[in-house]
Amino acid sequence: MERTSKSHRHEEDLCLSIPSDLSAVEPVCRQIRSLLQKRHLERMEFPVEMIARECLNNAILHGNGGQVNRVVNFGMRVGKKQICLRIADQGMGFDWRVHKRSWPQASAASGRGLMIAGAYAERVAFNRRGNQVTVWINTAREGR
Amino acid sequence: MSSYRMERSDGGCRVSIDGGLTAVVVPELQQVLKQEVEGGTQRVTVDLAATYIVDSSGIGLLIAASNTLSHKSGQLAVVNVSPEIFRLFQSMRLVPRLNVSGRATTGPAHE
Repeated sequence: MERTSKSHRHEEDLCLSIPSDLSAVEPVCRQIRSLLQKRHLERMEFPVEMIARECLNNAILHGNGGQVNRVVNFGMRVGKKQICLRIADQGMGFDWRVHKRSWPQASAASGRGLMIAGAYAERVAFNRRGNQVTVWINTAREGR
Repeated sequence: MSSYRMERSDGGCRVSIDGGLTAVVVPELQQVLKQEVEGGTQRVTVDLAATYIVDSSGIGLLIAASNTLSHKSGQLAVVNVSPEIFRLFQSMRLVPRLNVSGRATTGPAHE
């Protein structure tokens, strides 16, 4: 995982702002699938939706602490070789530098979200504050 | 929109998930499963035949249910899993722990 400060918001094919409510994730996922179908990238629906769900859930529950007055911004850009997702919350951020890339114990019922996103992604980068994540997914890679 | 339905039979229950086993349905499903297990159910089968995605919250729910049932000498099974979800469980080495099996229509999935 790394840090990024670049913004490609103007190039995004999908740019949404949703309240910090888990039910708001479903319409975003529907738009993701629709966009991928239009680009004939149906094979990417599962990995892209997995990543988007994990990052959106994290932003809503942990980033914004479930405070519905805070929003989560979502951006998606579909390129020829890569799909880029950007998820930003209005929270204090977290120290991604100490986040270890390791799986939790098999019996642990939590702690897999970011690891799942990382497993499907080509690259994951956070801003300095840790309240925005950018994820790149290689379109040549079919699923896991 | 995701939903679920539950059927009881012979000391066991079968929960079928339609859509996604995701964070938005997990809290309600957690309560339902908790009540079932506290009520004496020892075999829980989670049927994912109509499920296209499972997120980390859904996985957490299955692991928590498996943990609780194993303490009561019960067992959880996750059946009719799509190939993509099966690969997800495989990558996390959860196939044996959650007794995961694939969809018959797509051929038996093997770890």
